[in-house]
Amino acid sequence: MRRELIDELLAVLGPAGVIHEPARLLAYECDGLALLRQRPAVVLLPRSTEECARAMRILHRERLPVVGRGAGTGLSGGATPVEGCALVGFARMRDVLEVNAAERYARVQAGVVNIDLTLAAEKHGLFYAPDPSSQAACTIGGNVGENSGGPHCFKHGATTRHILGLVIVRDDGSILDLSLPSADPLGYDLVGLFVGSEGMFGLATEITVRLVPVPQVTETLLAIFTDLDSACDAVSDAIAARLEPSALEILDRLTIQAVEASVFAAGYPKQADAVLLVEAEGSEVEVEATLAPLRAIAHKRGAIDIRRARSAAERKQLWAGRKGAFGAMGRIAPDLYVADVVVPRTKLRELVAAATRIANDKQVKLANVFHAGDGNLHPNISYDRRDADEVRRVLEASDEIVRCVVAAGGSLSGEHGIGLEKQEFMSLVFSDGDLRAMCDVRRAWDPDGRLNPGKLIPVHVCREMRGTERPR
Amino acid sequence: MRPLEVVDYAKSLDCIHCGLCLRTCPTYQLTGAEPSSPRGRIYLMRAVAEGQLAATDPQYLQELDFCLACRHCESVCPAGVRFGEMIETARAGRERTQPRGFLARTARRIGFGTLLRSRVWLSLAASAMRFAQVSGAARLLGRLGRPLVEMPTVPAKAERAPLPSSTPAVGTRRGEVAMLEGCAMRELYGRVNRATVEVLTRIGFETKVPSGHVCCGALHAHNGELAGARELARSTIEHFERCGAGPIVVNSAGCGAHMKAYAHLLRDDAAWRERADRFSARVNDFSEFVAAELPMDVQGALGRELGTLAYDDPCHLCHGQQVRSQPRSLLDRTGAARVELPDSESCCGSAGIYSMLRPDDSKAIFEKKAAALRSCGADTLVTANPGCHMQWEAGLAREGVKARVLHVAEVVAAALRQARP
Amino acid sequence: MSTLEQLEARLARVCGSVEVARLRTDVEPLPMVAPRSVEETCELVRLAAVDKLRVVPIGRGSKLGWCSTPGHVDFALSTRNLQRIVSHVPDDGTITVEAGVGMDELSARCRAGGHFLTPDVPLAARRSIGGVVAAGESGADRLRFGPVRHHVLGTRTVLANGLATRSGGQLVKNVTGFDLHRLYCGSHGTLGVIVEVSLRLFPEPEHELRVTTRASELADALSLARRALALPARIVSLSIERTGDGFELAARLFGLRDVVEAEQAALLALWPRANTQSGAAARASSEAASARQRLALSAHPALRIACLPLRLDVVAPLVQRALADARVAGAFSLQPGIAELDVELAAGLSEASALAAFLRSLRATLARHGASLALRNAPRTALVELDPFGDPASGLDLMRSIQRCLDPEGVFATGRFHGGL
Repeated sequence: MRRELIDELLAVLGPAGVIHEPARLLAYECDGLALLRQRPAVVLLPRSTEECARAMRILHRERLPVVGRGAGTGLSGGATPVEGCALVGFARMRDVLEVNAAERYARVQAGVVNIDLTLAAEKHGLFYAPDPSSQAACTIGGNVGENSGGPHCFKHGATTRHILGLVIVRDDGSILDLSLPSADPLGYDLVGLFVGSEGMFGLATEITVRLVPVPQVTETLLAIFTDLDSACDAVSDAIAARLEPSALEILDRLTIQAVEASVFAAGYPKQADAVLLVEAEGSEVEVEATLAPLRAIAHKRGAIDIRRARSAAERKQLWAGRKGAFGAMGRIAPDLYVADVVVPRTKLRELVAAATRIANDKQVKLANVFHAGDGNLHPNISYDRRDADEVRRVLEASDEIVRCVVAAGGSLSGEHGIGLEKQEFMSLVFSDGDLRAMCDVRRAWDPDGRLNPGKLIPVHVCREMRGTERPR
Repeated sequence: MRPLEVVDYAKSLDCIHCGLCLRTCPTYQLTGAEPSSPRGRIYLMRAVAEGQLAATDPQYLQELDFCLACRHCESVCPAGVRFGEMIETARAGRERTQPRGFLARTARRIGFGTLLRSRVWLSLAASAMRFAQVSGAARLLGRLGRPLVEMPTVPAKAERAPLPSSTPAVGTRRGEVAMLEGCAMRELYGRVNRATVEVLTRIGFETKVPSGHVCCGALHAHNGELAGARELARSTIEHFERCGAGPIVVNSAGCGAHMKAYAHLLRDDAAWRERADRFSARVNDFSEFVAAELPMDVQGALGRELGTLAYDDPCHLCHGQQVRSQPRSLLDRTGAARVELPDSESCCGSAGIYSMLRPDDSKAIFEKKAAALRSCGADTLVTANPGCHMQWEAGLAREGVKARVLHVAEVVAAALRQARP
Repeated sequence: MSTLEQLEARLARVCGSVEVARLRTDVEPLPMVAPRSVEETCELVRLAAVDKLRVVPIGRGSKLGWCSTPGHVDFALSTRNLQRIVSHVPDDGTITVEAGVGMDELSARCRAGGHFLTPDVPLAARRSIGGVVAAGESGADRLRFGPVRHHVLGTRTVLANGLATRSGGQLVKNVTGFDLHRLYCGSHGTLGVIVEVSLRLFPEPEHELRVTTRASELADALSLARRALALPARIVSLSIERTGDGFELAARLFGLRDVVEAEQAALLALWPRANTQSGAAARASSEAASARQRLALSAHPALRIACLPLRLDVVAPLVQRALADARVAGAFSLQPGIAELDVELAAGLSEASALAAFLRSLRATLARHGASLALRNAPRTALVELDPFGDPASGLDLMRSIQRCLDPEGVFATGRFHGGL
């Protein structure tokens, strides 16, 4: 990058706000999807909406592509840099600006770590419901970009249901203030449209989120199964029985073993083939009324044991194990491909089995840990990226899993987004007409296509769109 | 030198880039910069090993220096990456590939080669430092003297006297322990050493101190002087083997963590590996040992004379040795009022000699700790490591927070005195 | 043959027959077509695009009074004949239907599958799901379930190019592609014709109760409502309505029997002289007795005021005073949990200019409290001076740009929605 341009950015952001040394830029070449890598031209770390906007004006003038980044924990390559881009990170925008306990909302800067928001809200008897497994690292800004989920989204819904307002820095550096909190706004729902737009509409710098009261009672059960199929069936039964716990998570044998070897060992029995983690919350009566039939279902489906967390600490430990599961897979192989697909909840068993079959065919190591209650599967494949043949088999297996899921009425992503990872699969679920509509809307936000270019929309549709006129 | 020899390549492969370490890392918290995080540093180490980045790249070396090696990241790493060992190897690699300037080289030679190997030189240096502090000469030295001005005053000679090689148990003798006197602990916090002996003997343990021992080599290892560290490890093992085969009690968290890891340090030394293993098994942190042995009658002995206590976990005790509950339990059993210090597991910025090498970063990191202490309103901060002790004393004075700083051993000793006048 | 007759003939060739519709009582009637399939819908929109005709998409026409008078319109396109149930998977808790399915029929179908359909809107028989989604009409049950836009899992929408396009899907969790369905939801047909909707369903309640009480003053009613809302109960909806001599509060509770009974007990402890109805009676009165229902039927101008929940305690009395000062009478109903206030202007302010002046002044006052005011069934004369949806909000330029990008030729008539969209 030109020295004068760097100096200009330095003047706006200060020395700590601009990273341009080649070695330091290397650390930014991938997000949580380490398979795809590209070194950015420069990394910018603004401290405020205003700084971000000023930097964006310079980047607009220079016609540089811009990629936003929260904590770089995304798993679909949403924050993978594109060639010659400025990567705008939010790691220095970590202030909780306001917690309005009475009206139950909080205003935060985009770089606030998910769990820090919940800790800030906890003091007021409130919490922020979406809890991705990476919640100790991922940022609210990143969550907004990807419309992130998490175990408790089963009851509370994904990020989009919790965002009340946004301040957005647009492609040209102008500031769009949609921060007046509103649950049901008039006019086009720009906030709802923005959530999950994977950094292609603008950079959210300040976010107003809905907070919910900490439930009176929370109970966590661990049901232990000797086969994965039965655990899946138990979840399908629970959905069919119209039960409403707050989370229904399954971990399979390989995942259990990895977790139990880690600092997050949760006491999952290592000989079990699957465990089902169930949580219910609400009043005491409500929790009991939810868990009693769930216990019966688990027994009917052959659970050999059902344990109950006896204290908050035990509950925390059970969840720490679940949330550390992805990282713990580092014990199995150097790299992990975290797949993310959604299936109808009536077909859990069938599609989990299909993924296993595909993994066996391709001779790759598959571990399942997933949000069963939402039908959101994560068939995780461990591999070593230095082994080209293994990488090929991993990609083939994931390709087949996705096709199989889509054929059964499933979808490409439940919470990780499309990014670079699944962009070419988009044509499996959407027609070119559907995708063109998405491109049209994107053009309204970002006429030059500079924001996170080359993501989400398959390449052939982008190419087709490129000739079209700019909006009046 | 081949890149693979300057970093722990195999360990770097354990990291799958999940990012759970970011929030715990003091330098990432300070800068928000990925290369200043554990995940980023591992990424750079891996790039060095894979030949994509020169082992001599100044920015890479800068990131190695910037790390406090607090190992907080290890406590949250689901993949079990041993970052502390990785940073030691990488720093040792740095010393081999990238010669330092003349001044730095000389200073390191004097520090690691002379002072930390000889009690005579160390004691002389302490006296010189005290003179510079008390006489005001330190102020005249300008930037060079700044660390001296800012650190607590080195105690008078009498305070720095050696511990007796053996102190008998008080009352019923229950056994015998060997204790590490330490390099810095003796010169800076002789009172902590005396409190430690007092506690150990009062609970019935004859306490031996190996004569002629100076340093365990932890500072060497943390700063890339692995050869020196191995030499001191062997010497330490020999010294303590001469004091029998009983438990070794260490009141300095950094030293304890390091001594427990001798087996790893000497893993390639066939003659010493097993000896190191046996040695490490004997090592206990003060709290770890005493929590298991403290008699019942100390219960509630301490009144409100120390005010409200807050315990700050030394990194190398909680992250390095997984000792968290014992010091708290000890303090609570004395009857003192205790509050939890917010974020007590985060580094105070002392990090061995880091506070002297990078005073500005060290102070910036400490600011959050001072704020945490203010927010919990404790009158006494309790720690268990001489580096942290000094950082807290200097930092609180600088920030104008009126709170005293004590070692766990000092609190327990006071309680035992109350219990058995 | 007149131009109009020619148009009608061409429309009839596509979908059989052409009816007549009035978008508002005070504007000229229009030809209206109701295609019987998605394909016919696409063909009609294509026809409009090719011939540069302007179309207004409508459902059953129950909420046309919410919008402003559009600019030039050639024909209305109603989705009322799109009646297919595309898929219903009770054990997955999802349903996908064509836009013309009535809310009553849809609700009954969901109930048969063991599910409750939100939004629970008044006058279900006069509303179609397509219209409800297009208008973003949430029910009073938004208190428990959130707004309708949260439960739309996906849509199929015919855009200006005549293509039926999908967004989202039929799964309860899905982040595949941009959430264009969130954009279409509440866009009042200004971006396209919603022809198919997928919804997430909730368990059919085992037990249902309606607890009511009375208060003589609005402030007392608000205070009783606040206390009920502070209970750890998941109240479905909570309303305050002005009656002849005071205010009636009604809380709707449903769910598992034990839970509902516990919630009822808690509520009865808070509310003096409360009455309870249960089961079908509760459901019937929740629907029939509500002023929301009367308002939905009313042809009089009405206001929908919305703000942050607690601000309603200030906003509602303020509106009440303003209405009294202006000698306006009519239904007055509020939903304290979701901070919506509905006011019917049944008598008074009959002059359009007086109405406009009153609303301008009220809007300005409300803006100071962060409240919005939408005007429904406004006489056309008043609309010359007023935007029924309030002053253009931030982001209006972007909204216009989105409209231009999706409908560059203006196939869908503009000027009906917020800021002239």
